[in-house]
Amino acid sequence: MLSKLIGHEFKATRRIFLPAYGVVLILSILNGIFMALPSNLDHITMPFGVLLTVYILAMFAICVLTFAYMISRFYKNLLGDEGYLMFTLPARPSELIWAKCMTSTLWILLTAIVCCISLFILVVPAMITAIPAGGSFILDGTHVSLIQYLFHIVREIWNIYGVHMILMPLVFILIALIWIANFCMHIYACLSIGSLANKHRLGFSFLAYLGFGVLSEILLMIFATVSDAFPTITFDLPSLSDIAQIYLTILVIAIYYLIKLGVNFVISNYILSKHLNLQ
Amino acid sequence: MNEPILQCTGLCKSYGSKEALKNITLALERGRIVGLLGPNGSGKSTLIKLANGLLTPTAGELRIAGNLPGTETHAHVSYLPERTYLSDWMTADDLLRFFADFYEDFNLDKAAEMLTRLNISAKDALKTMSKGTKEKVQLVVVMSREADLYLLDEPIGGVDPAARDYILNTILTNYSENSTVVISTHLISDIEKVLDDVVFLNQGQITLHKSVDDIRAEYGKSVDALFREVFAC
Repeated sequence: MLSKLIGHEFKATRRIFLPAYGVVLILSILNGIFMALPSNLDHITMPFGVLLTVYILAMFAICVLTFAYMISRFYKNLLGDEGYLMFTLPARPSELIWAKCMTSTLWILLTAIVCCISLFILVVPAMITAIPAGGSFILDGTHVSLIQYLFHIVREIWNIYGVHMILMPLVFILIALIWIANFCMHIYACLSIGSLANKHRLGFSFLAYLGFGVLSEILLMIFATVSDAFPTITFDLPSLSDIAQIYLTILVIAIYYLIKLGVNFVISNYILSKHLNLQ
Repeated sequence: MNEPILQCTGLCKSYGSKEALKNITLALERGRIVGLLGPNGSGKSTLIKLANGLLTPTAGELRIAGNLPGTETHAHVSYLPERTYLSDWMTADDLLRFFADFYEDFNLDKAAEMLTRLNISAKDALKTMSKGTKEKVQLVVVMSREADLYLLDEPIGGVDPAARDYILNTILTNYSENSTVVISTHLISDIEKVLDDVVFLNQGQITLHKSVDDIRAEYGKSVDALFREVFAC
């Protein structure tokens, strides 16, 4: 059932995101071409300025769209009129929540990736045109091509970090996914709490968001006070190598966000399972 | 099999300080078409929403074939809400496939045939359809399920009289003898001919639960006439 729900959720959302990604990527290609043109062409300054402004606005819009759509899909599709269909499907509320969370997480990650690709497209043509006359770089006294130069940099990094050069980015993507999933689930928990009110549900959701913020600050203060009271507690493990310490830190952060994700899910699931009140 | 398809015991629902349902105790048998009748605000939609698990009871309980509303009952209950729950971006065809995907008892061929009979193109986006057409599409998908219990909240309120006859005929011919249809409405004269039983709901309380034949024999009048008498302002 979860896979069916995720499939449906993708079908409902891809018609918005894929064209939006297309527009951003096309705008970045056009801007990239303009950037690669010689800077002494005065007559292109005006259209380039307009195009660049449109591109910046599009980048801003796609980020706002991703955030707003994550909220609106949950609010409209589950807590609004469409919820009359979704909550009468033979699916558990937990499956409905996870389908929303997983899809939104992936779209947020994809938006971030599209933004990075778009910036890359934007600067690469300008970088290529900036290659020194003769089209070569000097490496250890000899002339090499751009590809050879980049390959050399990658090999140098590999020599220093070895397998961690691949492992570390993967671990960062994994932790980013957990962070994003928790971010979405936190918003869902706030919207679910807001749905308990008889009216002004969005307002109450916002209050719940603020309430969680205050609670989180209080808990941090308590944690800091407790830590001060027990100065012997330390996370410094000198016996581990630097790289192992980095992984350990990441593991602690991942566990922290997984716990938060779990708490936010339990809140959302409890309310939508036991106290659902669609109006 | 003698277990009621829908059973309420001491069921109460309040919205804040307003009591929508007050201590409802009711049992509906299988194989009946039941009219849930009452004036606006009498609690009809609340009762149906509770049966679908869209609301949580304040007190008491409601069971569908012995189960509390949940995943198990959703697979056997076909629900038509009083509002449009469709996603506007879908076409009628998308909606049919959605139902076929999620409900094992959905009959895709029957739904496609009903759309054709109602002159609705499956390729049309729902956002381009009138409110009445959307209601017809919604009723088509709901009645194309082979469910044990159909809960229809105002199924004919927004459609034209010609379509009304087709819809009532569809309800009559599409349910098996073991399934129950509950129709909530205040357009009594239109549906009276298809009803087996009626339940009168007034201010959150059941004031009458009888078969249509008993009403005619006992009161010597139609359900519509009795309703007008009981709920006269």
